[in-house]
Amino acid sequence: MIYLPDKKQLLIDKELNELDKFVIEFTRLLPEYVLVSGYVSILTGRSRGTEDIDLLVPKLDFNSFKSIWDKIYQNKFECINTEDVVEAFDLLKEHAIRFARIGKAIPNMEFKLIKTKEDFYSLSNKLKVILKKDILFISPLEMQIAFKLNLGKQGNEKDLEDAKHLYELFKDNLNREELIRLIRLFKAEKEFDLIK
Amino acid sequence: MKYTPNLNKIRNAKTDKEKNFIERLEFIKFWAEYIKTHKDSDWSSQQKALINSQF
Repeated sequence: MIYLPDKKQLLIDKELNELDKFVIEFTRLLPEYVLVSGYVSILTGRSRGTEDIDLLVPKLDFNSFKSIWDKIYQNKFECINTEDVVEAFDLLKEHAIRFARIGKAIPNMEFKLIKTKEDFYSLSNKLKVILKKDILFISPLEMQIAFKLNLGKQGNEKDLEDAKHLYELFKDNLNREELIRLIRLFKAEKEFDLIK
Repeated sequence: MKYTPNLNKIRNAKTDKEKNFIERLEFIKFWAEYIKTHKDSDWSSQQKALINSQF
């Protein structure tokens, strides 16, 4: 695995698992997105699975959403919340919707619109992950570590472990100043002390 | 490559839950080091077996 922070690229010559294949097949259908949260740790080797993958997309009007929806269905995925595109669009405005392969429930893609400053940051500073033949876009590592530390404040050890994985793997190449700034922003200094 | 967790850190933890958590953090550190020092094909084939077994 080679991380090139200046180019915002991460090269991983990995054997793809079922989760990676699911993510690659789904994200191919989207014009713009960024993968966030647990899958970022899993993509980079964390030894755990997950039932869902978190994905952020820029705000969409109904027609753009419908066009993505049609493409998703043409490619043998379906929304597990509803089959009605209007209802799905309304749900998406409120929170999130999930897509899985037709007839399956897991793994599924938790599809959310970009809403917060942190979401915008993740998209604007996204990292390009170059796999053998495929490309994925993930949230920057500094943000992922700080974000996971923040989630860990609620006592979720899995989130602190995800942060630890990314920190240990990339600590020599992280933008330290930016990492500390984001950790302070989330007020997660105590959690950082636990994992560093 | 041997897994040698920091036993003092684990011993200093107050509860069993905390001990388990600290030990897992130690393993994550070891696994990250494993990833850094082995070919991508090596660690990812192990990860693939673990993840694919869940589906």
